[in-house]
Amino acid sequence: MVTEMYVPARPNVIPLSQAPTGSKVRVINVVGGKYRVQKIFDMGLTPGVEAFVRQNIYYGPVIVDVRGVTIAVGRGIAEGILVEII
Amino acid sequence: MNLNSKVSDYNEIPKRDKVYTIALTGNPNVGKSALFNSLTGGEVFVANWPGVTVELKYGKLIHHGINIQVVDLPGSYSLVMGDEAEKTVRDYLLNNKPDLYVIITDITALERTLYPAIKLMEAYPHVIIVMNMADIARRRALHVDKDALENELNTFIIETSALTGEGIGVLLDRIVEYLISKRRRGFLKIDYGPLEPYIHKLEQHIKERSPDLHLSHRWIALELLEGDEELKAILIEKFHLDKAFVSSVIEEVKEHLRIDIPLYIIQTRYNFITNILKGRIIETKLIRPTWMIKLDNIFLKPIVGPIFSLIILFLSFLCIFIINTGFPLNVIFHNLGLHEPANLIESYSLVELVSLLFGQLSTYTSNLLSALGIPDPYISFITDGVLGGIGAVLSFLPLVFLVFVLSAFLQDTGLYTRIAVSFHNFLKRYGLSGKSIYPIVVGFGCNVPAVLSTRALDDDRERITVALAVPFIPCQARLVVMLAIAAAISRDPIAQAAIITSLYIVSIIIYLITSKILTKGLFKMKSGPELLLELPPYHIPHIRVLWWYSKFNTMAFLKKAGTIILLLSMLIWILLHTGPHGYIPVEEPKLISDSFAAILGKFLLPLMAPIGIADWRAILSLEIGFIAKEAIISTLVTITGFDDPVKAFNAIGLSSAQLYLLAIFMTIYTPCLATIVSMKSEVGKWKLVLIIIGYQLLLAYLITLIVSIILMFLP
Repeated sequence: MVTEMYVPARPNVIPLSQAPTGSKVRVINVVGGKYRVQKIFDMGLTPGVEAFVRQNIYYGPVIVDVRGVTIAVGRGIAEGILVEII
Repeated sequence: MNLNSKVSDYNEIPKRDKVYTIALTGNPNVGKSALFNSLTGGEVFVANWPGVTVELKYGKLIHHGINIQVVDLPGSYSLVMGDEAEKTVRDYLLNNKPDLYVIITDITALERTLYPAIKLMEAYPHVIIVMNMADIARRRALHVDKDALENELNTFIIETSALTGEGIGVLLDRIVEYLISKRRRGFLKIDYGPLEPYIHKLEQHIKERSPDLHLSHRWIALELLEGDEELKAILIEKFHLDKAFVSSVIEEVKEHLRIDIPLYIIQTRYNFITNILKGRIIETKLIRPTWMIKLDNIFLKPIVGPIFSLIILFLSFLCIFIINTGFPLNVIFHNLGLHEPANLIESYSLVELVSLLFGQLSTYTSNLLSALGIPDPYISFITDGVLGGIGAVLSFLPLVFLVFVLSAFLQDTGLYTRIAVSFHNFLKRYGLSGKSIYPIVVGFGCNVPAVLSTRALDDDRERITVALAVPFIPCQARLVVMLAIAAAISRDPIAQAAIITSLYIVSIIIYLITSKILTKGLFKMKSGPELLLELPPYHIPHIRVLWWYSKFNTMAFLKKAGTIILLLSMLIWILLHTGPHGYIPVEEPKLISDSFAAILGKFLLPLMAPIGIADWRAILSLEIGFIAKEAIISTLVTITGFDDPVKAFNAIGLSSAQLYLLAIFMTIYTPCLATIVSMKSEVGKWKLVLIIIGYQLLLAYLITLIVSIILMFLP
């Protein structure tokens, strides 16, 4: 299921996979298969939540702090998490 | 907050002879195992529970004269959807009525770890909350207004530290207080705003179809709206609902509200948590000590991370294997000419001590039995077949135990997750997740604990894949045979190293290809699992948990695999020590050529000759290698009469090329008995195990054949 939420045409909305190390982001939307989206939500990465990008190197997972825990997000999944830098 | 204070059907006077059931669950990485251990004192039982397909652990405790059994449910983020662990929790929740759920959260990460707690409180009336890791919270000067939260959620909240043991007594008191008190709490109710009319509609429908339930009707309605198709189908069947009606309500919501329903529900729950926590957590110090961040920076860096992880794993296993067999330290010392320390290490290794014990035991038994006038064949059967089999099982125990200790250590400290993350990218290509690096590395030492340690993997398909493929990793016993054959082929150490390296490379390639075949062919997985893992904070390992985890899993190996290994060991004795002319005395090794095993070897000769294994003695040794790979050497030593393994290999009349082919075949053909039995106990299906053995034999034959053809064209 692709989420049917309206994605505002904001210029600074990027996939999490492109958010630089050390940046603070807000999750705007999550796209992907239903099972995957649900799992991402269950891990606390829901639209509106703020997260801190601890590490994002061109290769390997994106490491984010969200809701008091640290999560390693595979690049494939990070592509589908749309964020804006705040 | 609105709390439904409905009195449920649980009001009964506590009876002293009644056994109450409480179930432990919570987010992963909150210290649940440690807490379970502290509550129950570590004695674990397993049992089947209604509606749950896997066995669950439980422990027993008596507090203030009340008998309680504590069920250990797996860690779960959402309670109902996702991987095997979550499905187990779901099945338990839907089909069981424990007197109380104790849900464990991490006080340092309440926002996230309260999520399953909130969800459970919506579903079930009897829930109390544990806020674990209180010691860490204090060190970070983190304070949570527990009383305010207790009021908000209308249930007991207990701060504990499973590590230091603080709060455990209070928790036990509270559990008993809850179990015997008449006051019941009812369900937590969160306001879902525009969804409410639809929730109500579904709730009414569920009430009509299944009026008496141990779960809240409202929660089932929520799960119908939130859940995936699988969950929906389960709920509809379980509670006799009308599928068309449920679908029509969901369609209605989609049409009228135009929202993503699951997202809306999850967000509302998180908002609820954020609201009740607002102003109730006071933190005055840095969230994470800098050394943790530094260590994470190493682990999570590309290239550096995997290398660092491998070094940690290899050093750890090196210690374990040295304690266990003295290997590889003994080989290094021998090669340096330091035979005395090498022999010392060998003779004081655990395996050597076990075999010493059994050697003496069998001498003693044999003397005793012959004094009683029992005939030789029976004595040999009892001392070599039965006692030998028990010795074989026991000689694995220390290693299995130590590997589990290390596995528990890595999991408990949080290192395992980092290692898994660092290897994920590489292993993903072969359909595996980063966590499978552990069984792979263990496999280089011994395949038995490697197969058993696949238990730490989350996904069932991956677990089966690794358990079936990991025996392709050449274990230490195979290395010993490789070393002997390499020495028999050439005296040049560089040539020997090249031979052994080539065998390892072939094995690892076969392992990776086999994994890919299994994940893509058998399980139809498109690619490896995408990484989405919580990195728990580093913790000091909890000694009792290490002990308990290792003890439990080692005993499971002993029970499941022990008897089969013993039976097969007796069967092999019959093959080796009897023939058409009856019993073959052990003192007459030359007569082995009359045994059933030798007859089988001669029978297989026409098949094996084309791949270069053109001697029945070599085939016989491979048959025996099925028990244990080291036995290949001892068999040849016995048959040829040479004490030196290298001379024994040279004595069977194979050329250098043929010896190399023997080494290739030996490396691939089949794992040892104990590994096969462990595979069966982990995978559960003999059929799959037998297919894999057939595949290994075929593959070994084909690869040896191909190499023999290549060797023919070489000068």
